[in-house]
Amino acid sequence: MSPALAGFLQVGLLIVALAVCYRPLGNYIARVMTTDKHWRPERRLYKLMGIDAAADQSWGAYLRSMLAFSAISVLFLYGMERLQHFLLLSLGFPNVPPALAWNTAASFVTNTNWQNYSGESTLGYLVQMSGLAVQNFLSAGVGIVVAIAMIRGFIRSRTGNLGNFWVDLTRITLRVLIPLAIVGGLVLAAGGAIENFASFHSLTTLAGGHQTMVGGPVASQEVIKEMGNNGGGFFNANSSHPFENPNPFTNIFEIFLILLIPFALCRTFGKMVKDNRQGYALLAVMVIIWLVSAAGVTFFEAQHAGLAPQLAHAAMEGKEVRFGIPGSGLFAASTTVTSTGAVNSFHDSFTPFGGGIVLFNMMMGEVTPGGVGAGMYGILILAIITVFVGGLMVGRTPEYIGKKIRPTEMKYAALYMLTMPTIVLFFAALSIALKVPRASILNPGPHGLTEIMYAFTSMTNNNGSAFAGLTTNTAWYNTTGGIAMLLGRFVPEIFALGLAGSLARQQSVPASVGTMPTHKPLFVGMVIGVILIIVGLTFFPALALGPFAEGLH
Amino acid sequence: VLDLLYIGLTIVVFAAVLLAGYLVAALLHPERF
Repeated sequence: MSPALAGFLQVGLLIVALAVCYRPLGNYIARVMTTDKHWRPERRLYKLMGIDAAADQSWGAYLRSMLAFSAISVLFLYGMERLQHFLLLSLGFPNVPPALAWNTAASFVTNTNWQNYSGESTLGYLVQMSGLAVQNFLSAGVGIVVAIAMIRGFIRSRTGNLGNFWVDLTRITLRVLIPLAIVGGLVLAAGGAIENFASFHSLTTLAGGHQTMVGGPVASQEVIKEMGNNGGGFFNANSSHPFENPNPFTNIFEIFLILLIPFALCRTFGKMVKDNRQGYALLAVMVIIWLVSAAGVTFFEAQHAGLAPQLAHAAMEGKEVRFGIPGSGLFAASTTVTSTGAVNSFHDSFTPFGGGIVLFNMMMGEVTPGGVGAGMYGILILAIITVFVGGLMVGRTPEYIGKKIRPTEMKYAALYMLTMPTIVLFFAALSIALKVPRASILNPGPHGLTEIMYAFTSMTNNNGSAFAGLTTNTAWYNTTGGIAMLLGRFVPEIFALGLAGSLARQQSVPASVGTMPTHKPLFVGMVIGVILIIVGLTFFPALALGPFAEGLH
Repeated sequence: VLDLLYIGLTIVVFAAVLLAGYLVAALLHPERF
C-alpha cells in the first residue's frame, strides 16, 4: 500500500469514527451540564467538601473558585514531587529538584504537560498516578467547564451568574472523563499498551548489550493523556515509545482520542444554544484547518530533498517506521491544533516547512479544534471578533447567538487575543537577548530561533509538545516556562469568563433582517480569514526569521 | 530556601492573575464598583 493511500484511509477512518461519536457525545455532555439532578456520589462529595450545589456563581466567583482550585493543585503536586522519595512506589527515585518540580506542577495543572524530565528515570508510580494522572483529568475538566460557562453566557439573560464551578467540575470528571477513560484504556491495553507495576527489568539485547526497561501503569494514563489533550508521556519518548503506542491501530486510536472531545463540544455548544447549525459552523472551521494542516505536514515530510531523505523516500529522521509519514504527519497536526502536545515523531527533525506548520498550528491559539474546552472558548471569542469585523464591513450591529457585541465585549475579546502573543514574544525575546538562556540552543541560526519560539509558544498555549534541540531543564527555562504556562492558561480565562458574565447580563435579542447569519459558509470562511490574519500579523516576523528563512535557505 | 521561593512564586502568580481579574472588572464594569 502506498503511503498516500494509507494516509487517505487513516484520515477517512478517523473522520467516520469522529462523525459517529459527534452527536451522541456532544448531546451527552450538554445533558450532563444542564440537568438539575445530582448523582448520589456527587451529593456525598458536595457534602464532604461543604459545597452548596444549588448556588449559582457570578463570573468573578467562578474565576476565584477555579484559581483557588488550581493554585492548591500546583502546591499539592509540587509537594508530592519534592517528597517523592518518602512516598510509596517511588521506585527508589530521589526527590525531584525544586525548579523541575515547580515547572512540572505548573505544567500538569495548566493542561500543558511540558516535560523537562524523563518520566521513566525521574518519577515513581505514585507521583505518576496520583499526581500527574489526576491532574490530567482535572485540568481537562477545568478547561471544559470554563467553555460551558462561556456558552451559558449566550443562553442566559439578565443574570451575571454562570453556574457552579465545583458542580461543573465534579460532573464533567465523574460522568464524562472517567467513564470514557475506562473504555479507552481497555482498548489501548487490548491494543498492546502495557499496564503493570513491573518496575525495572534488565535485558540483553540482540547485539549482546544490556538494557534496563521499566514497566508501569501506562495504558490508563495514555488514554487521559490523549483524550484530555494533556500530552505528558509516561516515557520520555512519549507516543513514539512502543509501550505507549505499540502499533498503527493504537496510533490512529490515540489520534481519535485527541480529537474526540474538542470536536464533540461543537455539538454541545449547538445543543445548549438550541441551534445545532451554530455548532456545525464552528465545526466546519475546525475541520477545514485541521485537514489542511495535516495535509500540509504530510506533504512536506514526504518530500525527498537531500541525500538521506532520498534514500528513505521521505524525511524519516525522527519518525517511527511503524507509523510512517501518514501516521506521523496526522499525529503531529492533530496534537498541535489541539493543546495535546503528545508526539509520536520528533518535530525538531521535521522539514523546515513541516515544522513551521506545527508551530503555526499552536500560534493560532489552538482553536481548531483546540484543547478540551480551551479550544471552544477560544473559537467563540474568534467568532465574536468575526461578527464585529463583519458588522464593520456591512454596517450592521454585531450580534452573535442573540447577544449584542458591544464595546465591553470587544474589549474582553481583544484582551484575550493579545494575551498569548504578548507572553510568547516577551519570554522568547528575553531568552534570545540574555546570554544564559541563549546557551541552551543546540542549533545556531534560524533553527535555533525556531527552537526558542516553539518552546514558549508550546508552553504558553498549554500544548506541551517539545521541538527538542533546546536544553530546557535549567533554572531559567523551568522558572520562566512555569510562569508562561500559568499566565497563558489563566489570564485568557479571566477574559473568557468576564466576557461570558457580560453576555449573561444582557437581554437576548431575536435575530432580525439586520443580523448577520453565523451558520452559513460565508461566516465559516470569515472566521478562518480572521484566524489567519490575526496569526499572520502577530507572528509573521518570527516565522519569517525562523522556519521560513531556514526552509528557503 | 528554594522550596519557599517556588511556593511564594506560585502564590504571587495566582494573586497577580486574581488582581488582574479585579482590575479588568473594575475598568470594564465601573458601575459595579
